Amino acid sequence: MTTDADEVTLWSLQPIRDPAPPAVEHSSWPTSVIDSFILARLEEADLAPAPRAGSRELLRRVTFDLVGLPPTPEEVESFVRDDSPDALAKVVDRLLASPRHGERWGRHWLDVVRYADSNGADESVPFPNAYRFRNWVIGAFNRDLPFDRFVHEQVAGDLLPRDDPEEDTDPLIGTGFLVLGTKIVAEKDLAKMDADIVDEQIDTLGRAFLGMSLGCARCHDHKFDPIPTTDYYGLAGIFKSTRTMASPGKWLERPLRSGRGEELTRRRDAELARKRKKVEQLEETFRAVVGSAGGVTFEAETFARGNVVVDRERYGKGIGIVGDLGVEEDHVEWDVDVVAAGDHVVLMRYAAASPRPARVLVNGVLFEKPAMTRSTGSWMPDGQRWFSEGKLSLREGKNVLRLETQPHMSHLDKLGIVPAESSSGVVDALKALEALHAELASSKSVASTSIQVMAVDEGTVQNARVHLRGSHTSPGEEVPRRFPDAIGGGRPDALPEGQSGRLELARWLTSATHPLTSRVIANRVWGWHFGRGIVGTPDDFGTRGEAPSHPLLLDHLSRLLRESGWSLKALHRRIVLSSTYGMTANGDPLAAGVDPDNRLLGRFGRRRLEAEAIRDALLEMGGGLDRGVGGAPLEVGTYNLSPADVEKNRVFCVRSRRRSVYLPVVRTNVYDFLTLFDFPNADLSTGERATTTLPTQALFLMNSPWVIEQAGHIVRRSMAGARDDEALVRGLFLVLFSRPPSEAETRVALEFVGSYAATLDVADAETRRVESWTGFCQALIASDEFIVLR
Amino acid sequence: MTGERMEPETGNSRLAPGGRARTRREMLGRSAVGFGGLALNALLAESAVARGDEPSDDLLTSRPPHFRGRAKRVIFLFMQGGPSHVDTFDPKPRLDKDDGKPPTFERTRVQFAKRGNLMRSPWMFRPTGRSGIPMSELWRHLPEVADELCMLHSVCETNVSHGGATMKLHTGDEVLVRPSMGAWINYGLGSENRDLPGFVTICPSSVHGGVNNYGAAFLPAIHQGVPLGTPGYPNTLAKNARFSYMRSPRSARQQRLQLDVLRDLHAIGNPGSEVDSIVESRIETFELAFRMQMAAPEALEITGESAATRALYGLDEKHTEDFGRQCLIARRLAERGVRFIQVNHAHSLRTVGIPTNEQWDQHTHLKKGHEINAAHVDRPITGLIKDLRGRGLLDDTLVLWGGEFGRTPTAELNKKSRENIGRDHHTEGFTMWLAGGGVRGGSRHGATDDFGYYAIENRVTIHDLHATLLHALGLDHTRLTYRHAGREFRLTDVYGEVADIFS
Repeated sequence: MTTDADEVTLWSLQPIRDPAPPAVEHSSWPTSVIDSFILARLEEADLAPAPRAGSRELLRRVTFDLVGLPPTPEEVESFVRDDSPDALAKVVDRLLASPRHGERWGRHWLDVVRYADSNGADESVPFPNAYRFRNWVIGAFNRDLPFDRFVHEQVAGDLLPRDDPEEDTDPLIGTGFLVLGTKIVAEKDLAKMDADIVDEQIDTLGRAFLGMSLGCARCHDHKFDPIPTTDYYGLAGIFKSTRTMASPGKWLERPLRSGRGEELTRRRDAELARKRKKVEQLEETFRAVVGSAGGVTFEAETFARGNVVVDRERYGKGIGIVGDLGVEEDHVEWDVDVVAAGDHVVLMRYAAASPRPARVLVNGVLFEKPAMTRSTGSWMPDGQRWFSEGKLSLREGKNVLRLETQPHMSHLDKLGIVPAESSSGVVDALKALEALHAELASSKSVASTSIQVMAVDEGTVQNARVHLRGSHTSPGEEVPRRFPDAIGGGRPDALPEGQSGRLELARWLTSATHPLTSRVIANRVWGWHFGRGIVGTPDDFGTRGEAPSHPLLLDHLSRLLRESGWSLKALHRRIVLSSTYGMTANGDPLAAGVDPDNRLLGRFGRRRLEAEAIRDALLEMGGGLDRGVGGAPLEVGTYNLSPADVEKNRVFCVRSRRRSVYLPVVRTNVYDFLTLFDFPNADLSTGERATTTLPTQALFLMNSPWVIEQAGHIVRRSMAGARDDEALVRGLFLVLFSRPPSEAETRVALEFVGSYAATLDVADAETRRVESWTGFCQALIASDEFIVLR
Repeated sequence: MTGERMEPETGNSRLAPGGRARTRREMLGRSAVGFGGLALNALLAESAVARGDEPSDDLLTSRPPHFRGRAKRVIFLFMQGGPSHVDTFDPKPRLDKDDGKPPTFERTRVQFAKRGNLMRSPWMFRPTGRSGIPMSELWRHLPEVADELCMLHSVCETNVSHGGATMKLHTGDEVLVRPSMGAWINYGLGSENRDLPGFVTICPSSVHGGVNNYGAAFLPAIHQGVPLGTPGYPNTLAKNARFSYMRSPRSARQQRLQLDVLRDLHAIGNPGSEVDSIVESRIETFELAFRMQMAAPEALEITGESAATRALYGLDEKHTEDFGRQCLIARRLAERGVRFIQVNHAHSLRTVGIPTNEQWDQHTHLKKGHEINAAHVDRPITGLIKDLRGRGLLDDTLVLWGGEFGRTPTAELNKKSRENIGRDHHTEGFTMWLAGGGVRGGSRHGATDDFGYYAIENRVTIHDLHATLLHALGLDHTRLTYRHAGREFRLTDVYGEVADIFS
């Protein structure tokens, strides 16, 4: 258990130091300060750094690391031949300038912000505009958006001015970070839904930027970290004062704020308001015309009998409508008094997003023509429109007008009855109304051309109350909005009146003296390069997380980052050009015994490629990768989840040749290739992916038709340039492993192909050859040398 | 690709099972390999430390429980949508008396739909078995095994929506993504079969939590449930259910050649003694996968079952064929040591003209819907319990039956036609039952009030249910922990009391 004394000594909350590089014995090894820190620890443990990796190993490593793809054989050969001292630096610059870099590193960040294209959890409704956030992240990495600014835009981009006219860089898009979380959309307890959304935001923000699990403090003072419940609710007030949802079950989407999107939206809104007003005026005129023609209009909810329901809250808000019960046969009757017998035109005002025809009966006699057969585009009050439903013969005195539907009924607002002989003016007025509605509809369709993004807005500014034991049903004391006390960093004395305080929160995260944010991201970057962070628990810098293996190095990296203006590309350069990064993965066996987890970095740690890198590399090697950048969301056609639709999603992903980062992340239905190889659970912020080695992965590599197909592409491509079988072995090794085969390997390959061909019952020699080599190539794909980066 | 189909091949494997304990112990903490007995030391060590034991050196045994439990495995018969307790197992004479009257009790604060007046059950109840536990006429076959069943009449405290309640039942949390109970049990006990996954969910639904309901979340991925059949909404039919990528387009001979060349290249590329644990374990997974390709089809192949057995499960009748097949596969997996098997009754009733997407979710058409649903499962479940008993498996197999919630004793508002009337979701008192695995058969635990609304006696929250399941398996729910994101996690969070239901 923690005591107050522990709170003071939690390493991650201490000011970031400016450590001098330590003295080392083997002084010719370091090429940067980073190396001095690493070497000093190795020397303390009587270990020596592993030798430098060979050119092929190093180029393969840095290429996968920075762009997520293998180097081409040509790139390998040119690097091997380049013996200039800055050969690697040139390669690193080329890779960092490639748009592939943002696709690779943006995906790392998307793990942290639990990116998905659907809600997941209980109901996986689609997030059709989430992809704009994804593209924004990829773009931010490609243009090296300073990391402090990157943080600001995600926490408070809606409150920042935009200084770039480009559409896809509006900081508003960044706040998708706060909206992308999983919500229980069918939650009936709205207070709980609000509290859960705020909780999810605080939890993700805490993990992503602070490396702290703040969520624990929702129910009790944090057991291990210095986060009391009041700190949690201080932050909760900030997010409670922020609008995330447009309505229950529907998250907020906002148009881009300037440029084309905003201008179009403003113009459209003005136009719509003008036309709506005109419609209202014309409807009044219309009712007057009905009256002067000797007719009447009346409210549908004045019905005499029926099993329908009156709705004044939702579909009938402000007007009152009758609607159905949902599952049964519906019927409704009005008693209509008529002065003189004869034909009458029946008018109905209703809304229906899809047609729900009704049977019409007058005095018990079925009328041949159904009523309410039209769609008006919406179920809501703004979809209400008048229609003429034809002529009915009515008798003098009381008539019973009856409508029947099964199972659903259009949302009926009003009815009207006009004697047919005097109805010509009414029909003309109806035509005028119709024309105006058509105009209105076309103005509305302009909406689809303005760009909507998932984003937050300022809401009703309020403080939160402590929820006793985390339950929103037991409110306790009110807590002023503020940032966690125990975490330092420059902060304003008070949050501004009338604002949520999110902008101040964003600035506090990157303030000059903040102890966490720069350390947390520097550690993440290190971890993504080496497979393991200096702090092995990248999302937990609290007392229960791992202590840093090289605390001074971490501080040094944090400083490097800040001093370079928070440039991640500058940090990448420092790291990948260090001697530490350049060590071979085939290290000293003694070191492996003393330091089996390689925490001291006496060698480069091997790690399995991520799912995306495996898939993208296979497509690339077979010549099939589509290198398109960004762009519209990939349509999976449907987010419904019948087995047929699930299969459709899978087939879509199987057929796609785009980079994996562009495949849709349907939370409850992620492409099985990706999940098999440890694609993270997109409901949770994930700083470090698991690496599992499972027989289901082996089954996939052995039996997936897709893998076999890619193996075939690679073989056919390599055959084109190979004179004979030896050359083909060589070609395949160069493509898959970035190195030529040894004699022994060539021999084994040729033996395999001979034996395999003997199992084939195909007459055509060429087919036999391709199939045998495909079998061999598939084994290379399955081998650790392809899949484990070293 | 040609001809010869996959067949078992022996004698050519160069793998010496269990022969590499030393290097395996160097396995990275986050890596995991193998289904079942070959689970790595890293995992053994993790769970053993979490459970306060010494790591086991023997890789081929399952992990010992905390104490001696009667059950070794679980079969969960999940009734998606929420069967009505007052129409199945929890008779309420008061509803007959007060039928049509407004309820006098205070309703729960959060309701799913608008609720009407009290409504009596359309079915008569009668005592069944020697123990006399009541069942409604919906059950025609189940009374034959009544004395094996232990009714939990007081299950309570779950979410009122399908998604929240389904996740809570499966994982203990209604919002956050947490390991499924099947994953926890596998983590606690390991698997007994080295060639099959330890947690199989048969024909799962893809909605209301979907994969989260059988996921491992932060537990090592090896413990996650493997779906048999593409998860769907409605779910896949049992006759179409397969494990993914289990069928090879190549012959066994061809695959053997590939695995051999893989091993040869690996040996050439890694001379000397230092073997990287990731690399080594990868080679082993290919051998394991190769064996699974043999074992899984055998486990799923029911043509060898006798006609009597097939009839016992209702495979001879159209309306019981699908669920019966699931139950029969469940028994075959149980026999082969799969630790947690879930059978999902999770289809839509739209094909029979009822607007229900979630099988038992009768907001309307209670009478017709529940009659159809009970008829689907009655005979197969009865057959399963008899078959387990006959094969001596019932003693150490715990069978759990139930949905994510019950249904209200009141009618759902506005449904005026008696024929089509239904009941809403109900969270504060409903019935699940257990059989086998050491529970007192023919007993009733807990009770709801006169109306079947609130659980008032021996309340069993979802956390209590989980604690009780783990207890049956010899696992102490307070000691089955996993460290993640800086703290220890439990299936039961900080809650859970074991119900007193064991004989």
